[in-house]
Amino acid sequence: MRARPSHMGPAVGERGAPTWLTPRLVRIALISAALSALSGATYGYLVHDALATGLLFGGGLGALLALLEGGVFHGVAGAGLRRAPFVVYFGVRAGAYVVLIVATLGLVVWLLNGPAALRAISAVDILFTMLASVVANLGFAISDLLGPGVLLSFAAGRYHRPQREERAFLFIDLKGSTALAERLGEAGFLRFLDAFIVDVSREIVDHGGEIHKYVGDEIIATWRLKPGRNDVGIVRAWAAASGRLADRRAAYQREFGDGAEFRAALHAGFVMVGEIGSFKKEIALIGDAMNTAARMLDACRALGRVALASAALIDRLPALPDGVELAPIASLPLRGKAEALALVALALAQETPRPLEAAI
Amino acid sequence: MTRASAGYAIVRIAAAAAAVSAIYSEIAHGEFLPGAVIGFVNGATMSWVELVVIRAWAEPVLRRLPFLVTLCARAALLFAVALLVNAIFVPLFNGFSLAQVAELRDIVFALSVSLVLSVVLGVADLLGLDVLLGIVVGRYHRPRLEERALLFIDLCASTATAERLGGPRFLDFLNAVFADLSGAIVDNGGEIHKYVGDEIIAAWRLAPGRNEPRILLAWAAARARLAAGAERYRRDFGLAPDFRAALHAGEVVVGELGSRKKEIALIGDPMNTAARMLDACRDLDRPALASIALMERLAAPPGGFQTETIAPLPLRGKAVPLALVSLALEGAPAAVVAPVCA
Repeated sequence: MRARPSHMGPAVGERGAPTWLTPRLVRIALISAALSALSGATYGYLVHDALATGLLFGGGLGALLALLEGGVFHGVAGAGLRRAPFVVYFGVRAGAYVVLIVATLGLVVWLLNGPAALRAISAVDILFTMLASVVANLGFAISDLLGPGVLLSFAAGRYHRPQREERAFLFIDLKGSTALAERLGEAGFLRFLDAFIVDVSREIVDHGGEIHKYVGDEIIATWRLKPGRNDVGIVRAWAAASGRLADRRAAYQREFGDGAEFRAALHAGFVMVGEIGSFKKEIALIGDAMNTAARMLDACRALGRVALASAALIDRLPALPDGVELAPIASLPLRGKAEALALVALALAQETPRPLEAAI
Repeated sequence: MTRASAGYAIVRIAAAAAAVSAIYSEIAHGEFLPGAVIGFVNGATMSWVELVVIRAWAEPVLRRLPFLVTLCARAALLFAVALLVNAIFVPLFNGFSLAQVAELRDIVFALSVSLVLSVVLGVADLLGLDVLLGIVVGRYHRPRLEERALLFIDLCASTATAERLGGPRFLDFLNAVFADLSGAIVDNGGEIHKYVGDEIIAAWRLAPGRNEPRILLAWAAARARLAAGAERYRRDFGLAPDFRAALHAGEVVVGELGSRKKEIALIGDPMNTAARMLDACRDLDRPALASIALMERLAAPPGGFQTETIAPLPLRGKAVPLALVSLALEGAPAAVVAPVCA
């Protein structure tokens, strides 16, 4: 698999599927169709005494809305819209939902019963549409505030009792942040940090990771691990994030006078995962592996490397993606541990320009 | 929450409920007055239930329940209150008739409002109410310079505690301590900014001039809560928690950060300085350090606080060291916090 995804034109993955059609999105589409069929059936039965019609219409619409989600909100318009103020983001989404639902409803009624039947669409139908759109988009918008998967985990009570889980960790630290903060001033630095986090977290999420936390200028992301070797996207996410920042170097330089680079520590281990807090709740990750990853990030700085990965992680991956090079380095002694941590340094291979056919 | 501020909040919420319900009543029944009256009573009762019954009395129970259960329990409670108020007040306007008391659209309206409210309150519990409001209103979409009072709290001996209790028990322990500490902070008008490992960062907005010393009261309330709960903690976990604190104030840039996960970030020198003060707390073995920069912005606290001026703290990259006082509660020894923190 290529380490760096294309940022040119319509992106297509190697299996021929569009890159936005991630497993997560397919899951969302199925859930959306099911929920939409359920609410359509309930509404159809209660208001029009037409359960089957409501069920079919709702299910079809759900699939259509998922296309809108995938193609527009996670595709072409995704990045720009996410950075708009919350009210704009929410308004555009809910508005698009209402328009799509009403248009589809009109089209279906027209096709089945002729144009005269359009009058039968009542104000109650439109109101229900608006209510359903607002509720659904409130869910999406709030889920976006918390990060992918977090709202669902809370709703399902998944970590209400703490769970012991094996995870892969990607700790990312912006290089030269103190100097940047001094040069740009606080407001300018905040904008820089925001641009950096937006670029990096996009690659993390696209490669199946969860953004756990921002701590100052650090980003912590995790991937769940199954027993045995796992084809998780952690190294690909790291490579893609480095690639994206390299590609956007000119844009950063234009806007901030300096490009963004980061150090990274990649590690894997068991942690306790549990809900924490009362007036502000989070899903906390607690365990040795977290401290070790933080310690690796310090070592990255001390050794002047762009990325360190623990052997514990590398052993759990089937293979390194193309374009990523690995160099063994001395083990890292850890306080309170008898055995030193076996490490490798990661680096991106010197890029050769990619043939155009591969990108399209 | 103090009695006065709870009363003020209840009146505000009741007024908002009266407005919403008057609009509904005008549209659904053609007259706004009954809606306004019933809405006001409903809003007052619901907010009383939320602020006094749920927050003060049922919170410890609700907190232990899974998110979805809390959400449904809250919705059911609010819905029951609405039905009850309706059953009492509707006959006042229309004379008693069961059909009018239990009209379907009114019940659907009450149910939707209860659901929406409990979802919003549930989400506010996840994000913190101020963060939710701040992001929804777009207050920090363009970064702003704001003056804030900052409270950094660090649990004592957390590494040893984590080793002793083991993962799941340590999370339970952290949860119990965080609930006590954040209760003290929120009751005194602070917002929980962030948890970083076993640290809590809380912030208060400062108005120009001298401000009420709510940050000091929060710190004292947090100490009092942990002291009052010491027996319970010893019984449940075999040790009593304690914490060190740094209290500081200054101008920070406040702005939204991130796209796939959004938060409101605080950036600036005072954040680094407060973190440095927390380290100094540890080095000097003091329970709490407060900067003069903060103390000068606060009105005199009520009795019970002892301050002792200590040597200024040199900061990297700063010409003038930071003027500090060590903070203690009367009756508590200033230097030694508790055996566990030593």
